[in-house]
Amino acid sequence: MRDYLKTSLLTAVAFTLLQSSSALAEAQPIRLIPSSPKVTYDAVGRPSMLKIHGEGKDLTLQLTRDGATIAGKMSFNPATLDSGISLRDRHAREKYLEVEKYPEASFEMAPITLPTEFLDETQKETSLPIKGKLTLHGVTREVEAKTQVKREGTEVEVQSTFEIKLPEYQVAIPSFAGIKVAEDVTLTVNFKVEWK
Amino acid sequence: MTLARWSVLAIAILINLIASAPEANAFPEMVRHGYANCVSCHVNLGGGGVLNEYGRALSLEALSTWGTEKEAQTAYGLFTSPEWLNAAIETRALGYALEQPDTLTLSTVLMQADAEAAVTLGGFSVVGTAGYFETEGAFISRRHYAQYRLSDTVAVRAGKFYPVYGLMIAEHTSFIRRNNGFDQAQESYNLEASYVGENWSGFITGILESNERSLYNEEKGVALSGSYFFSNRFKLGLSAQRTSVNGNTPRVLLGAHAALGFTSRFFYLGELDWVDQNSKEGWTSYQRVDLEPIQGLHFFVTDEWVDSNRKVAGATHRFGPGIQFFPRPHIELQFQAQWQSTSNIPDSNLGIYSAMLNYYL
Repeated sequence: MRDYLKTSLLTAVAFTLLQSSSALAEAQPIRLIPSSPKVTYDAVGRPSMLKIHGEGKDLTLQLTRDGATIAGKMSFNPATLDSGISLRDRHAREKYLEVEKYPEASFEMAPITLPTEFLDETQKETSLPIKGKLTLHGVTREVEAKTQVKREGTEVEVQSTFEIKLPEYQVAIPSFAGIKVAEDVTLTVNFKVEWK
Repeated sequence: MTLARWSVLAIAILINLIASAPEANAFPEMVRHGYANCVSCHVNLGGGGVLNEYGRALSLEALSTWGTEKEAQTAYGLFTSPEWLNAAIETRALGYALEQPDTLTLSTVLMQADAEAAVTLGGFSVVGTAGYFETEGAFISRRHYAQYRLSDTVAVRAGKFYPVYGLMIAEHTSFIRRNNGFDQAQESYNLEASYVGENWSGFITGILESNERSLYNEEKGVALSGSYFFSNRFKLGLSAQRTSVNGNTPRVLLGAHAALGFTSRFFYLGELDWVDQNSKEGWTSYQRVDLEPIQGLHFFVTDEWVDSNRKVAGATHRFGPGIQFFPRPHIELQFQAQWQSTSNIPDSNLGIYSAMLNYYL
């Protein structure tokens, strides 16, 4: 009887430990700091070399962290982009990005591993090339984004930059009143997350 | 102060006022919306004058409080302008009051009634104005020039126009324009090469023949201007000009300017120039702080200062608030109160109150 109790107790402890370690290994969701997201686009209008800059904030994260590995998806509502010129924004939404038909732009990132120096805080800032699938205007393409990651106490600030060509996403080249937008556009995603 | 001296001062101010509204709308403050290059909206590489198609559309989108697309188009869209033609008629009227210690003078004046057309074929444009110049009671052409854009960024231009210098604000009676030789109808004959890029722009202008109306008639020389645009709303620049008459009596201007769009509704314009002419060294400055609580309605304060001839005339300071209102596309109303004093003239305080209507068709 005593041996039976001992065996049962050991089994229970082992099971509990196993469960705990399983739970520890499970990927944890990364929490976005709500006021932090900013998605911008920068383009050039020719022939006057007009700089066109628009911003939006409606970003959602479905990123997870498993130790040093980060993976998941970022989604953005392109209808929220605002360049300060309402006609331009209306044209962007209706004629070019067709946001009613394609209400979401997203980036599904391949898992990345953060460097040990960043995790143990000997290095506060690092840059990473992140690969993944960018979906815009209903077209999905493999892309690589330059990403800066900066640790600030219990927060981490992230900035990813995507260089895209509009025709690759079947977006017509925006043109209005003699100004034609160059096909190269820079998308930048900024946000902060909680970090423990 | 003697009556004669007061009279001279009053006449000088009156002349100042009769031409005291902007000559050709140039809006360096559009930097607050990300428009760093004048050529986004104007055919003129240096800014001002006839609008291109985009500039007309932007008048509705970014400048005026109310309006329709038709109102922004040439002649209210009554006829379709071909792509190669940009044309406009610009009229301007001013009412003003000049307050001196003993008198108040009221008057109105039709200041400008000009037509301007630009014909553009590919990268080549020919631009010309014709209109009535009331000061002389004559028809004149303020500007006429040909420009060729070798690429999106590089261009050359020849003809009659202002050399690019400083902020290029429209208020030609401001000290930085009038005192530096860029007053109304004083465009010179020039040859210019320019680079206008996303962030950097630069102009080099050979001044081949000055305008006979200019205080600096017969001057020839060169002007340089460069600016840098950053953070989508800020522009800083440096300018220089050296002119002389047959190599003698050189006049040198060196200046720095800034157009800072803190937000799309709050901006600052500033220019400071050092002037050296026949050992009469000194400074001119201009500053404007502007708040636009609703699109098209501006509350602003300007501050100007000049002592470009300090050994003789002392420093003159002018400042005051104003309201600028663009109720509909191409319609501008401006009300301004300014107070002016000159340091070496006792009791020289003057009140200058003006209302201006500008209509661009």
